[in-house]
Amino acid sequence: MKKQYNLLVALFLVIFLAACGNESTNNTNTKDDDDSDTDEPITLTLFNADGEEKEFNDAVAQKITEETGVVLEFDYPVGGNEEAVPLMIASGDYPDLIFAKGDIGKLIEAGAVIKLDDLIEEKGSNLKAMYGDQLDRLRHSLEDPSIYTVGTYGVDSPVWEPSGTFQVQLDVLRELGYPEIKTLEDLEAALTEYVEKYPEIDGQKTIPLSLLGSDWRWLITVGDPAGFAAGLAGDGQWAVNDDTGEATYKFLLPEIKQYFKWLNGMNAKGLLDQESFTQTHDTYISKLSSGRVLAIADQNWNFGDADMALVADGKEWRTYAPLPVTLGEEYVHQGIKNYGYTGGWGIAISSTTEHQEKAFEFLDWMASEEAQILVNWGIEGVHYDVVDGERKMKEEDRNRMNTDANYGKETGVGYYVYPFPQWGIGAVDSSGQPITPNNEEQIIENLNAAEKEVLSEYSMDNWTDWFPPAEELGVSNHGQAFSYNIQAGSDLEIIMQKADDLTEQRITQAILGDPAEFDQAWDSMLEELEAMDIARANELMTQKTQDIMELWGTK
Amino acid sequence: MNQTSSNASNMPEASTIIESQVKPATQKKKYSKQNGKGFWKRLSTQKMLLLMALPFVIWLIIFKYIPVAGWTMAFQDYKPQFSVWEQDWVGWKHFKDLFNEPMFYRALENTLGMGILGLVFGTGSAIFFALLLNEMRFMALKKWTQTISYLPHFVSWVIVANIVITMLSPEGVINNILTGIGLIDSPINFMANPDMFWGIVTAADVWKETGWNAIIYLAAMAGVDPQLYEAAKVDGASRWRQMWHITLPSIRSVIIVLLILNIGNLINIGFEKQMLLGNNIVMEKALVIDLYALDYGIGMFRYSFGTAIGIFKSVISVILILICNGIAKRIGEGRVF
Amino acid sequence: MKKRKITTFDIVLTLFMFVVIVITLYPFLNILAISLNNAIDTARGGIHIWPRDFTFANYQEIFGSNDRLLQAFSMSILRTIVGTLAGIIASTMLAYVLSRRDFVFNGFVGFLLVLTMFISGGLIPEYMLIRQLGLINDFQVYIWPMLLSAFNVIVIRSFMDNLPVALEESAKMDGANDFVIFSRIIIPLCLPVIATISLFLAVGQWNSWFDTYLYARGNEALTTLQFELMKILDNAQMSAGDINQQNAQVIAGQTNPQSIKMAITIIATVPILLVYPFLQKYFVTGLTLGAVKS
Repeated sequence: MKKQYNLLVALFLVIFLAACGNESTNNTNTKDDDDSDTDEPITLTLFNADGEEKEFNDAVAQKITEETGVVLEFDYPVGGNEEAVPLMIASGDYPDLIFAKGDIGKLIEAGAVIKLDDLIEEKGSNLKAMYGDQLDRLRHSLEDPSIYTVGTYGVDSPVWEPSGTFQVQLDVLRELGYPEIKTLEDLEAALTEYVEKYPEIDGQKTIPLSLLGSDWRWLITVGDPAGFAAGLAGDGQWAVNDDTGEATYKFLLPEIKQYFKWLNGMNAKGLLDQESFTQTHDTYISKLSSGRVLAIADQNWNFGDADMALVADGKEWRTYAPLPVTLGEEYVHQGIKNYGYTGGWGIAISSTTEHQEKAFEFLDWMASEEAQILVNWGIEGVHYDVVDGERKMKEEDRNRMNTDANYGKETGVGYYVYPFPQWGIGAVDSSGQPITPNNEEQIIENLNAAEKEVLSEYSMDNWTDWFPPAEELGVSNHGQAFSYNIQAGSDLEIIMQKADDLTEQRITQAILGDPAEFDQAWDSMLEELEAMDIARANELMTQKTQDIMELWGTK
Repeated sequence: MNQTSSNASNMPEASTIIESQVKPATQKKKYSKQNGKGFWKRLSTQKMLLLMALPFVIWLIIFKYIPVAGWTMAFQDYKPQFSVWEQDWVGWKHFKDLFNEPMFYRALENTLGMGILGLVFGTGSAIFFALLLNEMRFMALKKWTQTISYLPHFVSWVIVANIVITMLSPEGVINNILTGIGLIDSPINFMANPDMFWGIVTAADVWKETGWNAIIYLAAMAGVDPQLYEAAKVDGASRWRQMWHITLPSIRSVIIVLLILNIGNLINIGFEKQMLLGNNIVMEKALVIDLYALDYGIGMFRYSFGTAIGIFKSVISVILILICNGIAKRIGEGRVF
Repeated sequence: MKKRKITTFDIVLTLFMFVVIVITLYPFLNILAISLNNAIDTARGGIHIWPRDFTFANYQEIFGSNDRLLQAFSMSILRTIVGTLAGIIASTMLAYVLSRRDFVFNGFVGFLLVLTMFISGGLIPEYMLIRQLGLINDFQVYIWPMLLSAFNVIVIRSFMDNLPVALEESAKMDGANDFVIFSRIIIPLCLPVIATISLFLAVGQWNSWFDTYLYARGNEALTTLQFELMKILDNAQMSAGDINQQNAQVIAGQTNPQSIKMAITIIATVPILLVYPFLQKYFVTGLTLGAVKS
């Protein structure tokens, strides 16, 4: 007996020591493919910060492999891990292609990614054609004006589906005889009138206005609508003068205060859902789905589930129309402004890849017309047909595209567009046809019957007709402030984070407070902002904007 | 054991006797310290113990102490691409930044506040629940209760937070009940009241973890000598008395050891439940150190700052545990090391 | 045992326990009901403990979207079994050494151990260590880093502290060495706590997915159920971090409905829930001492 136990101890020790001394028998990603000129496709690993689980084996992927000899293998931060890029840098194990979003600056600093300037110059004809005079917008910074990344957002992306502004239930418009709603006052009057007429909808209490300000969505349902109402462009927390580059933290502005004072009044009058700042996303969606919320201020993608449920229930009149409401007639709503290619993020090629050339050729090919049609439309005869020289999505595919969230993942159609180099929805190919299936004609066709009826009552073709036209607003010289690459851990980033944390709390408290105390609450918030040196953040952001305009040659 | 029955009529006295009977059984193992023998002499008789401990000491050093070399980051402006020799050394800069930040003190206050509440109510509810389970006579029901009560432990905070917020909303179950029985006139928006936030977090935690935390106490109760209960029964001691005078003293040392470990962990309460239950109205009461470290440390690539926060937390924990362990040793009840 | 009469105490206790059952069972029934409900219908809310629009589609979608689940499931079971066994052997052995107050290095080893509860080098140094040790993409990475937890060892040791010392001393008289005492006398006395710690270890192993992601995602054979489910769940959740209009739109397109999330929770937790009832038999009062005396 005793002997056996001694043996066990010894065994245990041996295993232990063996494991400690065991220098990697099967270490690292096994990449045994050298760049030999065989027909075997090359596997490129792509780290995609926005990625998901996916095999590169759908119909579109197979076609891509056929054309380029490249198979992609995706890696992404599972569970939203924030430390994927730092770990990559610390270990020096880089994938071949990296889409790191805002962390790209750290990768450049660590020498992890290569400059693409020469490659684009020599063999990047497709990329050059795609970015054209916006190529400068790919450059990193004034100090280091090289190009490290390509892709992310589309080139030439007009707004055909207004989103992120106030949205009102179609039935409100119908019941009130299709009134003109241009200002917050108009909206308030409409909501008041409707709720007096119908205090209950389907047996439940009518909610005039509901927001979702309990978590990060505060930014899109409380913060952003304030900016639009005050006639600001979509620069996130900033108000940027597009001519001078002067940037101001937008909550310092008096017109923003005016907006929140209005919201405070809405709350006092009982027109604002009292759960606006405590409800969860699920609760919010279920309220919207019940059809008893008259107005919201939200991005289309944030309440898509509710929209689907309403249509499925035949409650199309309970879906929403985007409104160009502002504080007053003197403000110009910038809801459909064209920001141009905003640059900032993109796919980079790592400095350690063995397939540098191949990786670049692949990215360049993705920018070609052939590739763009493939990734947007799929394969001719399978996903779309050419009728009278025009591409037409097959009926079944179009239906699935609009209703089945897994369509893209299964077929690959539309899946390899973001974050690769891509044409926007406004672009046309060499024959003059739209390069993506999401062209305006298609978007209008996809509207539901109630929407179409309301549009015709107002004699419009699309909701965009309500908004000040994009041509009048011009193309932004600085892109959008929220997509700047701000150096991680810099003073600017820290002050911004503190200011955002503060304003989200203080403004929420001010909205819910007694209207008599609103001014005081607002002033004390301004004092706190001052104390955290918001003036310095304004200066740094102005500098940043001016640098970008200089870099892009738009100054 | 038999002498306890002789005095059955006199309850207080009887229970003291029972307690004195419990004591010897629960007292720590006492080994002859072999005083007088030299260190080497003692060591030579403990070769086997040494052999049994050695692999684990090596393990501790490799897996737990070597990575602590990462603490040097707190004194650098750490950049992951460089080796330790190439970093910029900045001394106490990050600690000074931390101690100059008003938000940090608010986070510390909230962390300790919710930590203490969690400790008191978490430990209390688990022991209470274990005691009650231990008293259950219907075995089938006992097993079912035990199994079901630990289910919430496996439900993620994302889901639990969702359920809690829905139940506490103005249109939720709790308000319906309260208005239904006429306790309040109009619904209370619980989640919008900063003063209630700590309480809500603690209650949610108790609900989620009591069944799970009780397991360890139940295991401890399994070690109680049944003869003690038999004797108490003969004395006519009530069930409450038995719990108080037999069960609790028998597991006292386990309770104390767990208490010490949990006090050491007061500051390590995580951030998940606070983040998920919190909202912009109550954020002032919901900001905890780990959330602050995430948002203002690694979330911003500020590894050095994040590490400085980690070191601060470790120091607090070690101080707390040294104090508690010292007290426990002095009163001779349980010890951690 | 003689049958005792049922007192008021028993009745109150039983009622109390029924309340406990109701409030702790609710979330699980809620999750189960939503997981069995049509995904679009779920968006309307108001599902409590019974699905309104019954369907297995959510489960079908999960199993259909991933053909590695079965393999991942076996790996999860394997790591749970091996990890729990290794962990329990290591913890009890170290706990025994620490329960021996006469051991010359008792204080030192104890302090060394307890300190590890409160210090951590952080993710990067730990990752670099595992890489140095060559454990990346190796099954052993599931076992070694999780081998010991100070908490478990201390808990076991505090149970050992309560054991009567007489048995041990008589064994010593008979000339048994420390290892024999540990394995023949101490372990059988510690079954309740061993059952408890086994449960902790098993749940810890079963629920781990981050180590798979960090250290083993390059080796498909090592993928675990939790990791695969995490990936499916991931598509359903947007990170609150750097969100902005355009890319959030892309991510929102991948969002899975709430019902899928709930079905994932069920698949992930039910197997491990089955462990507990098997361990319950070790929690019967008197078991330990009974074993000693016989």
